[in-house]
Amino acid sequence: MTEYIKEAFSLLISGNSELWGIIKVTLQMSFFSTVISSFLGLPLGTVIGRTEFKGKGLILRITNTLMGLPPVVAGLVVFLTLSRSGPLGSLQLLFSVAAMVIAQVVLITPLMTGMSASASSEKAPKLRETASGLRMGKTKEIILLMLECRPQFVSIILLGFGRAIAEVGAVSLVGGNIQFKTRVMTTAIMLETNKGNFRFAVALGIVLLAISFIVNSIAYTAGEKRK
Amino acid sequence: MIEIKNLKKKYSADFTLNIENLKIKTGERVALIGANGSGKSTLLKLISGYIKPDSGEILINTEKMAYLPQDPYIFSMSVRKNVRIGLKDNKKQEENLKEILIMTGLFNLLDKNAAKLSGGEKQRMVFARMLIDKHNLLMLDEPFGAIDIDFKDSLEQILSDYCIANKTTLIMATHTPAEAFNLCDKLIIMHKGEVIEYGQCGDIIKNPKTDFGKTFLKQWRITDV
Ligand SMILES: Nc1ncnc2c1ncn2[C@@H]1O[C@H](COP(=O)(O)OP(=O)(O)OP(=O)(O)O)[C@@H](O)[C@H]1O
Ligand SMILES: [Mg+2]
Repeated sequence: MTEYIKEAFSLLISGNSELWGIIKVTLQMSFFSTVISSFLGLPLGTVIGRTEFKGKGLILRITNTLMGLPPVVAGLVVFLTLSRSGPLGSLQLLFSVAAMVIAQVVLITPLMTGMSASASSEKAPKLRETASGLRMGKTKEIILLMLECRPQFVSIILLGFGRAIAEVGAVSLVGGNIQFKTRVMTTAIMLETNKGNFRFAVALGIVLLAISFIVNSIAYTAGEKRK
Repeated sequence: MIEIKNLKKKYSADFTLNIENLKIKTGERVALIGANGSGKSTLLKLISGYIKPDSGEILINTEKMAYLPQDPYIFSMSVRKNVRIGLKDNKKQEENLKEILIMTGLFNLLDKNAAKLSGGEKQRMVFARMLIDKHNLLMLDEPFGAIDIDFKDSLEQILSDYCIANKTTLIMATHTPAEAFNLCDKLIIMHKGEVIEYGQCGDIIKNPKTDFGKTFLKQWRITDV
């Protein structure tokens, strides 16, 4: 095992261009899908969280169902939508990083929406009463509520990023695992393991763990500072 | 001028707020008293528009009003930002800010995170948040509960001056006789969602119309004021 780890580090340090290419694509994909999902999911979740309306229970049940959506199913839906005969076939996005980002956004946005709805609904009633007492507008109130949920939102964003970077099924369906183009760490690990090229697979696994650790450390430090 | 007609709000089988008729004139200062659960906060929430009645109406011809909930939200930001949170124009009222912070004894806490203030400091801060702007109608739900005697006296004075200077109508829920009499010229006694007594403080004390009013004021030990 130590042998593999040594090998992994020498691969990384030697600047193996395929390895670094895979890391780059993975980070790009995870970053953009997390950013897009955050911009969609956090405000939507906050609006759902602060409002009392008739269909709220239904919406939360739907987002909870989508949270448990098997990634492969989401991948399939995006695949069919983007395939040549599908509704968005003319965009010719299938087997590109963009397609992977779309699939990830479909997967992560409901998760972020649901989690930010429950995070914000805790603070919402008291904040809304105070905001209403000061005759604040709705927009200002929602922005303030989002600001007040910052610590929870940081965790939610990191969770989304973690999901994106670790996902295999949807990404290999719509990305196609094309070398130097849409191959990401998870799909590469699958492939290399199947080929029996364990060194490369372990090297990728270590990088994946390292990134997770760094991301979590950033979150932890941010959380500690705020206390 | 505030006029309430046939106002009804039902929360449960045990509690319905029910007020047939109530008028508060511009510039009047009214203390809202009554036991826990008698409906003081509910009435303030209704007048402020935070909750909607089941039926009836509330007519208000006032331009600018503000309502301080019994348990107001403290933003996890600096005291300065918390006090200014309701202001529309961020540049304005810089002068007011300094003045109000000095008056409420918060000036040296300006940059402290409000989440870390003591209970009384928090209450002084939300009080400052109300008074930094000029309002024609001010609704305060037990604003002085956790504030110590020294500050309470000066805050009462500040509030009184503010109301006179701005011709502000004040409606304030309280459990403390001294607050009610120092600040207000009128008294509303509530019981089980209804207004039992309403009138000038002196009149009600000398001459309560109902048995409940008598008993309630006896508890306040002010029958002989
Ligand atoms: N949102 C609500 N849902 C259900 N019942 C409520 C709600 N808000 C208040 N009540 C009930 O209405 C009654 C009146 O409450 P309210 O808060 O107006 O009393 P209060 O006079 O302000 O009491 P306190 O002196 O304790 O502040 C209480 O019995 C309370 O339990
Ligand atoms: Mg109350």
